[in-house]
Amino acid sequence: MIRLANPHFFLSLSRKLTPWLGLAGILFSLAGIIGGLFVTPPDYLQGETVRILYIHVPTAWLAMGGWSSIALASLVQFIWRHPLAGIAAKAMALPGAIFTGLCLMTGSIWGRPTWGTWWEWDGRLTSVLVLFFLYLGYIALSRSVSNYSTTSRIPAIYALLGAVNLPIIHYSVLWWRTLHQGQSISLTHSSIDPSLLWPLPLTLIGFSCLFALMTIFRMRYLLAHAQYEARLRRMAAL
Amino acid sequence: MNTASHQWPFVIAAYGLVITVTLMALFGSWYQMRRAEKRLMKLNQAKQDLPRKA
Repeated sequence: MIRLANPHFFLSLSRKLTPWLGLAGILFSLAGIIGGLFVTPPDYLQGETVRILYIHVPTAWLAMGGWSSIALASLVQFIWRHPLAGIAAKAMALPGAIFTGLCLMTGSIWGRPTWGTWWEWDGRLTSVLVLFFLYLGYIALSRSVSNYSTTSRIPAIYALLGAVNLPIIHYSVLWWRTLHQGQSISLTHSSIDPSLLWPLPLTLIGFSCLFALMTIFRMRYLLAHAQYEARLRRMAAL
Repeated sequence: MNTASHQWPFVIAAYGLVITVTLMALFGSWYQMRRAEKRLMKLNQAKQDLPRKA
């Protein structure tokens, strides 16, 4: 863990991981998308719109997973003050915001033919919208804290406070009356028929690999940018 | 109302949106990284080429 936190070790590991993550991300996503679009049967109630599930669920998983990872990295930064953890948290913010936006939009596109409305102010939808605004706030805050500083703890505190929204999203379907259906998949049980379910793990793995790849690209960008700025300052001081 | 022909445009719109945005975000982050690393390499090169003080 300490070795991984070394920027040089991280850079060499990330260069080795990049092609594998890219290949796995594209292959798994493609298999899941083809399976979801052309192979699985339509649902007896939802009809063809059930196919949106195969891309909506991974985006929702990455929206929540992204913020959980930001909060975890922020905790590591907060306790051990390791700058790479701060960079990892900042790097995950943009992909997290993108996938949260996609989750809201695909949910809205699914809702129109199924519920008859694009949007409903219910617990699940509103709490995910709050998560989207939290992401935007985090991006704005981390950019405003002087020049990609890796030592500032303000975004880390914000990320930890924002994590309060995660259990609210998860339990919103139980706490409030909502149009959104309850939990249909858990670690041990699924109420979805296997003939409809199988492309979902494929898109989940595929999109997670692409998210990880985006995070690695952005971490390398932030590291290169920080090094560039530091060298410029050093050269100016000479 | 909710026949298959009415539903497919929604499915295609959702898939099109997710695929386009994901690919754009992936390419954008790769391009941003490549540009920053090239800029850093150029600066390192320029630093090496600077005449040293006697």
